[in-house]
Amino acid sequence: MAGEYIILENSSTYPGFHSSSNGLANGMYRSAQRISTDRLVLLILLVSTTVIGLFAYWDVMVLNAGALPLSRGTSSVDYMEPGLRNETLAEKMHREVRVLCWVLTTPKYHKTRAIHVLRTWGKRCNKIYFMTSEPDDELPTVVLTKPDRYEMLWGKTKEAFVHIHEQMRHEADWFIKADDDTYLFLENLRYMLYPYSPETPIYFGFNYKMVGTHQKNESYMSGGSGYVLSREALRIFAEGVNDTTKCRQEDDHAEDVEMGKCLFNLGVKAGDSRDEQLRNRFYPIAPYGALLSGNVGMDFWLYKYAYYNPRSCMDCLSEYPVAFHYVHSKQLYVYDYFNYQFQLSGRAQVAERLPKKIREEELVIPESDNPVS
Amino acid sequence: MGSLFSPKKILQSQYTMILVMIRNIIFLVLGIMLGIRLTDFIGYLKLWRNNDLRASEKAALLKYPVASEEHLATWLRREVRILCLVLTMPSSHATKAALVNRTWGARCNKLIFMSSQTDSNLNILQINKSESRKNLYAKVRTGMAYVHKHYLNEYDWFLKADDDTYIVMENLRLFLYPYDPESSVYFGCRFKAYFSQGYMSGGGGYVLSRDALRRLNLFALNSTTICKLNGESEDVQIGHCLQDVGVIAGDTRDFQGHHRFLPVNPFTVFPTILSNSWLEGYFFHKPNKSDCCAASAISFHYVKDFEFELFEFFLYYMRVFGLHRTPRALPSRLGFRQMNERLQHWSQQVTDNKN
Repeated sequence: MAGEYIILENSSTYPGFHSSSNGLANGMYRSAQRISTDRLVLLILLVSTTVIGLFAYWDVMVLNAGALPLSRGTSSVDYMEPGLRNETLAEKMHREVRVLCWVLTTPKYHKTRAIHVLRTWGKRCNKIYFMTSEPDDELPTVVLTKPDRYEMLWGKTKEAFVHIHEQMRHEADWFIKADDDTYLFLENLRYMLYPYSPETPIYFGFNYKMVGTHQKNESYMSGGSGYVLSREALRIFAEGVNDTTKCRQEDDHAEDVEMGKCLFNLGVKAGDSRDEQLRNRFYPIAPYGALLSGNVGMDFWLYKYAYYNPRSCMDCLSEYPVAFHYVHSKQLYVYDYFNYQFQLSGRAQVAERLPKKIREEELVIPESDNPVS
Repeated sequence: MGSLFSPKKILQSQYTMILVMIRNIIFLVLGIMLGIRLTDFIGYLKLWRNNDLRASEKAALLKYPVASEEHLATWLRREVRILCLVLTMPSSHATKAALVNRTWGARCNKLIFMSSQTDSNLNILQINKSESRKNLYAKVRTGMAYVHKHYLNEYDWFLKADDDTYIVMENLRLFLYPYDPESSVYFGCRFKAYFSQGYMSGGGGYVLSRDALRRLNLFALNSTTICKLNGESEDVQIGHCLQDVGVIAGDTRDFQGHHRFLPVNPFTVFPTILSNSWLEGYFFHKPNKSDCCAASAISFHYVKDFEFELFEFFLYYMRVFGLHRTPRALPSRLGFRQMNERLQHWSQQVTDNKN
């Protein structure tokens, strides 16, 4: 109480001086401190925020730029449905391009050839059937009525395709015939077939010039490396095969030549199976022949009979080959091992995209350009 | 007076603390940013000294040393330097040796052929010994001595192969990457022998570390008591020499027990390694018989002429559409202690093949 009174008295004694000096000092001190501090804080915050922001932006740009090569190195997801992003392109194609494989074989080769086909590339077909003359509990066989003779191949082929059309035409979109010494890369086949509609009357294989009397643009497909018919081509064949003016009714003669003649007369187009760089996808011999063809003279039989000029890309096969022939049983496993199991570190991964669909009216099949006759 | 001054002091104190905290955070962030850039800059300086890379590859490696599979192969080629010694003979120069030169040999950091005659198309070390099986051992010794004298410090690993061997160099580099070339070890397809460690099959190829090559030349080839020159099998004798100088035989099997170095042609072993074949009795480690070969296989032997090009076609040219191949992770390099543990484990292995 007393202290308070003393303070009050002092103030009242010298009111003007104390008030003015206190106010001035306090005001100057407070304002100076506040202004300089505020400016300093604002300056630091502004500069640092700007620097950090610029750094973050630059880092994000670098990361985005760096990510592009990585994204190009993996499978494209452009064509996948949102719910199926984990599905590989091969699995998607397995659903969308259904291929029924039928293999021409004979009972003496069931255990030495056919069973190995089933264990290697055969398991990648949507459906596979072995056309033979006796059933086998290890193989999905179809027993034909024609006898087992090489000269009856055409008869067996006719019977097989008619049987497939009657019994199995709803199981697949495309129907490929192969031998028991063929190797097929089903993923590459589906990749080749994807642009085409199965309602187009067309078939593919390795194109040979037609033999005997023939029209200019007539060709047939090698039987050994296989040929694939669309569903429409199969229907046309099955319904027209008994026409005596178009297809040979006897069972003899070369199966692939007669098949080519028959389909040509029935109006089925012989498609060009080469890739966009005109490299062959179907190859009627093993890769050795292709890879070593630089050592073969110009009288190599393939150059004479090929419908499309094979010398335009000598030593050139497609990067996505579909079929090879004269592949022995053990070699089937080697093909499987190197292409499906082997892990090679450092192989560049390419961005794989599905090709554009081709409408039937847009389909262009080149004419023969092989000058050798 | 006191009560009037107290609030000002408190405000000032808090203000100062906040300022100090902000300043510290700001300088910390700036310092971290500077450190990151400095690390990248130092990395760039290191890369700039390597003139064997193109500018685009430099930029790619600067950002991501293993950004993609393609860069992985380029990067591993620099990190794991392999000198390849290939045994050949004059009659094979134009055929097998030329194929090796054109296919997998082109992926070696250095390729040297050992032959009794020179050839302008091949990099040949001429060894003046007649071509017979009895002289193979002497040829390899001479080749090892030459390489030790001229190239010991320029390369990390030294591969010996035949001219009918096919080596997948990318898989070999990936396999060797974790191991220290200064550790005393060699790798190949391990066979049983009359000495405890066994030997590496010559035809399937074997690869010596720098220290293994050093030990072989300093302590074995110059010795008068061990590692004597004779006319016996080259791979057995080399294996014996290496055991005597303390080089350890490494294990090259994968996680499923498949041998990565295969001393035969894959065409002859598919679908599985046959029972009662000559090969089964030779393996130091019993092979996994469930299927044939390792997915990350490194070498094959008895390869025919056309098979060289077939393997090149399958491995480096053709593709299967749509298959997803998981990028393989680069394994970490083994430290000193881990490497010693591994060497100890390998040195204590005994054969489980009783055939």
